[in-house]
Amino acid sequence: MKAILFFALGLVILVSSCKKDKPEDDQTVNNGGQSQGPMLHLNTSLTVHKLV
Amino acid sequence: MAAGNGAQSPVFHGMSSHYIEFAPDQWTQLGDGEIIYQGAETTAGGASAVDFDQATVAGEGTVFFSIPLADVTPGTYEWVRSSLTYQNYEIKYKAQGFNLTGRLASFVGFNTYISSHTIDNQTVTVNANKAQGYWAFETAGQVSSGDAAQTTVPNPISSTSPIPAGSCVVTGQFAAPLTITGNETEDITVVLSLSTNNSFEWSDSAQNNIFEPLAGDTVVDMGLRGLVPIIEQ
Repeated sequence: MKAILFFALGLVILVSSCKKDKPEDDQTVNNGGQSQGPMLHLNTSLTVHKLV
Repeated sequence: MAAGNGAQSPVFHGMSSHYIEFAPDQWTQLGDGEIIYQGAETTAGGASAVDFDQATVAGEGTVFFSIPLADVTPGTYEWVRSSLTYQNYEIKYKAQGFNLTGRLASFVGFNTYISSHTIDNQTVTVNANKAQGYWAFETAGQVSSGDAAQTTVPNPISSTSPIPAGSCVVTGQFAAPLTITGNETEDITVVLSLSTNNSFEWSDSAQNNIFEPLAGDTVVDMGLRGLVPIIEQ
């Protein structure tokens, strides 16, 4: 009887754990799919040059 | 360079800008163009000042700032204006007969609140606003500091679009105007090429073009000598 109870408890914990994982997986996929489109980058160059 | 002064081109380790603006033409007044970037300010030191704690310091060839092109107003821009606030570079000097090098932290913004800053290995605690021209110099683990009397700020369109005194807004022209259509499908990179040509200048008491701070030479000017914006698409 105890073995059956432990087995049932383990099953409940396993199912519960799987349900928690699912939304996190979905969230990760959604974030990765976002795009800001083309970007303007401003780079710096610090060099010795004479200006006209 | 003024008569009686010496100058050298320092080896840069980093710089920071507080403000970047694209201006359509030479008649565009400061602030009336497309403001691409504006850094954080604080009143922790009293008057409004650049918040150095939140400033981005970029090295040679690195990305200083990025913005979605969708956030830039479509138009044609001939000029770039950048308000420089901080430089960190190595200079050569002579003391007691020895040729040496040291690291300089140079604050050229209109007003900068500094809690602390690290020059090379040494950290200097300030917790105050510092006006344009403040510098701190580290060599052999020792730190000295002072204030330069002036800061060169190149502005080729000063006759049509002047800048306020003390603002350290450097102005440079694109070789060909930058056009933003709003329909771009690829990134655009603009390189802000800043001239370090003889940008560290001192009063040269021995008239030998060697910086000798122990022999009476004093820092006069730390302003960069020009800006060339280059489009890389």
